Order: sequence, then structure tokens, then C-alpha cells
Amino acid sequence: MTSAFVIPGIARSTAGPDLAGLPIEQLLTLEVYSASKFTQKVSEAPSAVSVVTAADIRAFGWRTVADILRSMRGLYVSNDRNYAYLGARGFLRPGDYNTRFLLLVDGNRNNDAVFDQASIGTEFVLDIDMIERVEFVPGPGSSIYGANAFFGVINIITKNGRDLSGPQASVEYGSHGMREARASYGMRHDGGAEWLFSASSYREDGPDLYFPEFDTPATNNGVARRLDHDRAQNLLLKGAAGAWSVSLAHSERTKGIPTASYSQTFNDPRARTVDIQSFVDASHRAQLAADAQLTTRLFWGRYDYTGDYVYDYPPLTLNHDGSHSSWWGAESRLVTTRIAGHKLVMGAEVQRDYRRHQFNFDADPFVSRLDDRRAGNRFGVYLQDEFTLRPGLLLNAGARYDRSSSTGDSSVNPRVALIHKASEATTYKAMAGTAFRAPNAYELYYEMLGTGGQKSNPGLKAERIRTQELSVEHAASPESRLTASVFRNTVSNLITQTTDPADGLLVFRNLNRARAYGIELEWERAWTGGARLRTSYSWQRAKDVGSGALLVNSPRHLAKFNLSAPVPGTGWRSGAEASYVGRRGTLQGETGGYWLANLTLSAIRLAPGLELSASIYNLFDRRYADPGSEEHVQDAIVQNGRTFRLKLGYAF
Amino acid sequence: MSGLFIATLRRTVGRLMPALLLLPLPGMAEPVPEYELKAAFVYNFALFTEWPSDTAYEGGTLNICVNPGSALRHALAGLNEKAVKGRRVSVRHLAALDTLRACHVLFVDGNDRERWVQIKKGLGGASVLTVSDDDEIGHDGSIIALGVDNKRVVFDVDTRAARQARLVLSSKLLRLARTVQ
Repeated sequence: MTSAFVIPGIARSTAGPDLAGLPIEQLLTLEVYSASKFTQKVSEAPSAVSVVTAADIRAFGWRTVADILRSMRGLYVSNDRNYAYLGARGFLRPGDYNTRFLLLVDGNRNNDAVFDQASIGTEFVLDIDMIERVEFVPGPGSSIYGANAFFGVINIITKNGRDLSGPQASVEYGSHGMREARASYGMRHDGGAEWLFSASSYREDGPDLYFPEFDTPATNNGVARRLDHDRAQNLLLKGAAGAWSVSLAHSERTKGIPTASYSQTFNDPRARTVDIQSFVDASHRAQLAADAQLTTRLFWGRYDYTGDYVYDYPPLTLNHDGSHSSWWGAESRLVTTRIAGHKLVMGAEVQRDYRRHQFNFDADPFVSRLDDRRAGNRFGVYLQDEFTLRPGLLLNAGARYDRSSSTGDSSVNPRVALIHKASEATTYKAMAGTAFRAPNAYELYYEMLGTGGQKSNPGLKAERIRTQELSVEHAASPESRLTASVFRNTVSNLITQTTDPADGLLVFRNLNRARAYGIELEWERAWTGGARLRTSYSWQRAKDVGSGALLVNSPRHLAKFNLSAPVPGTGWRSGAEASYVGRRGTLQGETGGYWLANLTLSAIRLAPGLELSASIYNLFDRRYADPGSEEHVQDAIVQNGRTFRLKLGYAF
Repeated sequence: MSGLFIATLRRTVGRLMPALLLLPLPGMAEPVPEYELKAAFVYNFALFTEWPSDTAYEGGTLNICVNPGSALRHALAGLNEKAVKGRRVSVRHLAALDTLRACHVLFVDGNDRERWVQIKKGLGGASVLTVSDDDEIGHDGSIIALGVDNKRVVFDVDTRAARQARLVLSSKLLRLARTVQ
């Protein structure tokens, strides 16, 4: 068998200049637009991974991580005008602050230590322009990442100094008084050391919103005036030299609450939440041998949340609710290919949650309603092996042991994937695994007695998921890929908020058992001219096993269409996006399915260093709503109509 | 769809947008596709490299090898009709590694990460010009590493790896490289 065969001369359709005929000096001056790379062995990953790059973010005018995830196969997003919530494969539990997704920034856990929240809205710690790539790995990730990698892992890879090469600035202006400014500087020195700094400030006044549920003369006829405001500042500092890299980030986000959630007084200008987070990560990569690499990292993080809620007890009183969480930890990971045919990954991770503080008090007169201080430890060890059974047949198997001091629970989560490369073009995968989520401090210890209050439940246990998935990937050419998968997820001991009939208080309990199954289809295509298409369809059904009822906020159909293409002869690129979310059940009834279309036109080189983009979101001004949660009077919360954004960037 | 887009744009951004659209762009080349540009670099590297006199050219061709899964496959295939120092270029798929030594130029990227260690072993000082286009493989033994810096393609040269392969890179190439080790 000859494995190196001659590629037949392909009739090339590019009408552009013959680049290979140009002198190399001239090649060095040409500006390049990067094509979407069907990156790094996605076909051999033990999961059907979705990848989005900075080029896609620019082409489609995405503003938050939620916008990015919304475009991916099988994912959908809900927004209650305070936070953004992610749903996957038919699961989006009301009141869940994305605790069933693990959010990684450059491989470091970003979920906080009180809520285990994954921040994907404007409260996300980084400016979107600092993102180089976003990967979503669906399925259970606990076998390597531990807790919270329940429905999937979101991995955000940030830019490096070399990606900027000098100062950059950008300004944005958009609907509802949105404006943003960013200044960044990135550098790589000849010795290979690089660093990056970025600071940005964002503000949106927000629209006045009408809620029919509050349409009485006493409550401003249902209009929440100037309460959908949003303000955020982000800071990032990153450096790398030799084997070392350090990053430091800080963000503060203030969001008005227009919905009068948690039984507040409607239309009080003081209602808001403030989310502040910071982290420092230092990591060291040591090449022990040609076939062994050891990565060690140290991390520290904090997440402070404060909510200003207004209640008419009477008298009208300002109530402060909040949490402080701080943690530090270390992880070591060894990757080795020393044993022929095996790729071994092993590691250990410890995290000390040294502050898990929850509080609630009335400002004036001062009444403390909750002051709960805790600490805790998490510990995990894992091992994964990818070994070649025979050419074209890979077995990826791994397990992780986790222990959490807050519940005394320990848990072992395995995952196994059999990957069969049937031909150069076609790969079959069979995957099975489990994952867990330990109850967070909020579910365990939050207690505020009194009418409409909530009580703690320190006896909560971890919830678990078991998944099975079959998928096939077919690459008819390196520029085209078809992915199809069938999955089944079974969740047991699901932590659910319920009302105790004995005292009328809300409490979290390990109640339900739920099952979801479905299919997903995706087609990706890149053309030589620079056009890229990614389109997918998902059908899914998620049910409560006990009652047989369909789950709330679980659309049966999802469809996505993302096409970005150069506008011929102009240097502009257009990004057209359409997505469909089927009808979803709400707590009281249902909210209709909807199609949403966005359009972005961008020029990466209007003049040297100057780039411009113009976006219209909800192009056809469709009216649609997302399901509300237990804390809302509104059963469904209406989303924005047509809005626009103009963004101007300059690289000096 | 685009009609509505333009109409809304006109209404919402008024005078600003047309003014920007009319900015003169004197003598500005449009951005070019990354893969085609990188393939052109690979061709130029071959032009400015001297292979040892005992190099074998089966069938008289200069062979450029690429992983069949590489995104650059098509762009490199476009070099098939070109010539380097009187020899016709032949772009070949390198699926397994048993024919590694038939390559004169070997292009590797993210698709080759897992087998890079084996490739290096298999080459063992053979006169093959290795060109990498991957952060992870980077300088780890490849002679030329491609990269993108400020939207332009750049390359770094490792002269020690070149010496081991008994290849002589022209001084022009070394002068134009971003870094020379």
C-alpha cells in the first residue's frame, strides 16, 4: 500500500491573483483573513465538539458569550433581563444560574464558590473582543473536570499578546443608548515573551418595558422606566515568558431589575444586582521529555454578588442580598505518550473555598435576615487514556474521583468513548459516561424565614447524569463536514426548588428523575473564496420520569443557520444568522416558537488598521419571549425587538 | 433581506455610514485568503532552499507532502503545476509515515500534533524541509514555523534544525524571517 499518493491537479476556482507567483517580500506585506479551521483533531475528540473563532465573533457581531453559544448545535439561551441562562439538549431548569455547565477561561474554572454560576451574559469576566476561540464540549465532562461539567464544558480561549501586536482601540454605539469603548495593547518580544493588556467599559440605558402583569395605576400602568440599564467594566492583563504564563482579570457589572423579581415593588429605580469578579492564574508548562509534558497551575478567584431589592413591607424598605466567595487552589496535569499507542492524561486538583458567605439584611431599620459563613474544600484526581486498539480504532477511557467537604460526598465518574475511523472521511463514535453536580452553598444554606421565604437543606446530595451518545462525522472534503448524533441523558436526584406544604417555605430537594433523548444534525462548509456555513437542526424531548410531564423551557425543535461570506469586490464581509427555537413550556403555560435573524456587515480593512462593522439584531422585529422562573410574576418575559450596533476599531 | 438591512441602516445611522463608505482606499490590496497565502510561502521556501547534491528525486519531481486532513491541502495542490529549479512540483498526501523520506518539503499543522513525535523520529536527519503551521508544534524541531502576526503571515527559522537536515536556506530567507534561531 502506498500511503503517499499524488493529489490530482485540482482545477482551482480562485479568480484572485496567483499568490505563488509573487515575490516573497510582497507576500509578507499582504493582509490575510483567516479561514475557519476545522480545528485540532475534532474528529478524534471523545465528544462532538463545537468551535467558534474570533473571526466568527466579528463576522456575526456577537456581543456576549451567550450570543456565541446560542449559535451552536443543540444550545439555546433564555434571558430574564437580569442574567442569561443556557440550555442544552432539552434541559434549562428555571432558577438555575448555569450551574450545570463548567465555564473554563484558558482551562481555568470560572464558576464561583457560592452559586457555582457560569456567567455568560454581560457579567462575564472578559470583554468579548479578547476571546480568540470558544469551544463547547457537550456531554458529561466530570471524568476529567469534576463537578458542574454536567451537560457540557464551555472553554474560552483568550487572545495573546502576539494576536494584537501593538495598541488597539474600539468604540461601539447601539440601540437603547448602548455605548462601549475599549483600549488594548499587546506585544510579543523577540525573545518570545509576550503580554497583553485590555480595559473596556460598556453601558446601555435600556428600553422602558411594559409588563401587563403590573398594569395598574398604582404600579405606573405596568411600565418599568429606565430599569433595564446595564453597565460593565472589564480588565485583563496577561503575560507569558518561557514556560510561565500569568493572567489577571477583573470585572464589575451592574444590572437594573425591571421585572420586580422576588416579589419586589414594581418600578423602583433602586432595584439592581452587582456582580464583581476577579481572578489570578499562574501556570507553568514543563517539557519533561519529548513525550511528556507537565502543567502546573495555581489559581485564586473571587466572586461577590449584591442585590438591591425593594420591598413594601410597609414601609418601603431597601433590602440587600448578597454573597462573597473566594477560593484558591492548584492543579497538576501530566500528558504523556511514552507508552506506544497510548496517550495518558493524569492529574490532581485541590480547591479551598475559604469564603462562602451569604447575607441578607434590611438597610433601614437594620434587620439582619441571613449571615451564613462557610468554608469548604474540593479535591479530585483523574486519569484518562487514549489508546489505539488497531489502526483507525481508538478507545478513550477515563475516570475521576471527587470529594467535596460541604456534603461529605465522594463521587467517581467514568467516561468511555470508542472512536472508529472507518475511512479518511468518516468517523464513528460511541460514548457513554456519567457526571455529577454537588449542591452549591446557596442550595444548601440559604435561609430567609418568613412568608415567601426560603429554608436551608444541608442534607442535599449531589445530582447525577448518565449519558449515552452515538455520532458520526463525515468529511466529504477538508472543507465540508457533516455531523449526526443521537443521545440519551438520564438525570437522577435532580436538585429542584419546591415549596414545603408544611410551612409554605421554598426549599431545595433531591426530587426528580428526568430523561431526555434526541438527535442532532450539523453541516459545516468552507469555500475557497472565504465563505463559511454552519447549519444545524436538533430534535429533543425531555420528560420528568415520575409524572411523565414535559420539562419546562425545553423546546422540541432547534435550528441554526450561520453564513458568512465576503461581499465580492468590496472588502466587506456579511454575516447572516438565523435561528429557530420551538415552542417551550413555561411554569404556567407556554411560550411560542420563534425565528430570529441577525445581519452584520463588517470590513476588516476600511483603511490601514481601521475596521468597521454594522449589525442589526432581530432583523424582522419579531416579538418573542423567554420563560420566567419561580421568582417572576411574569410567566414569560418579552425580549428586545429590532436593535442595531455600529462598531469601529483601530489598530495603531 | 439586504434591502431591508440597507433601509434600516440608512434610517438609523444617517449620515455617518455613507461618509465612511466613501473613504478613499488608495492603492490598497484586498485581504487575501490565509491558506492560499501560506501555500505561496511554502512554495517560496522551496525556491530559497538548497538540497544536498545526493538528494534523490524519483520521477524528477520535488515532492511537497501534506496531511490529507489538512485545511491547506487544496491550497497546496495549486502548486502542482509550478517548478522549483527546473523540477516539477508534486504535492502528495502523507497518510501513513512509511514514505516520509520521499518528501522534500513536509507541511505539518494541527492535524499532525499527535504524530509529530513519530514524524521527527521517522525523519531522523533526512533532508526534508519541515514547515509547521501550528502553535503547539511551533519551533519544536521544525525548520520553518509559519504564523500570523497583526494579520500578516510571518515565519521563524530554526537554523540548527536546517543544519541537521543538511539544508542551506538562502540569506534572503533568513533576512526576511521574523526570528532566526
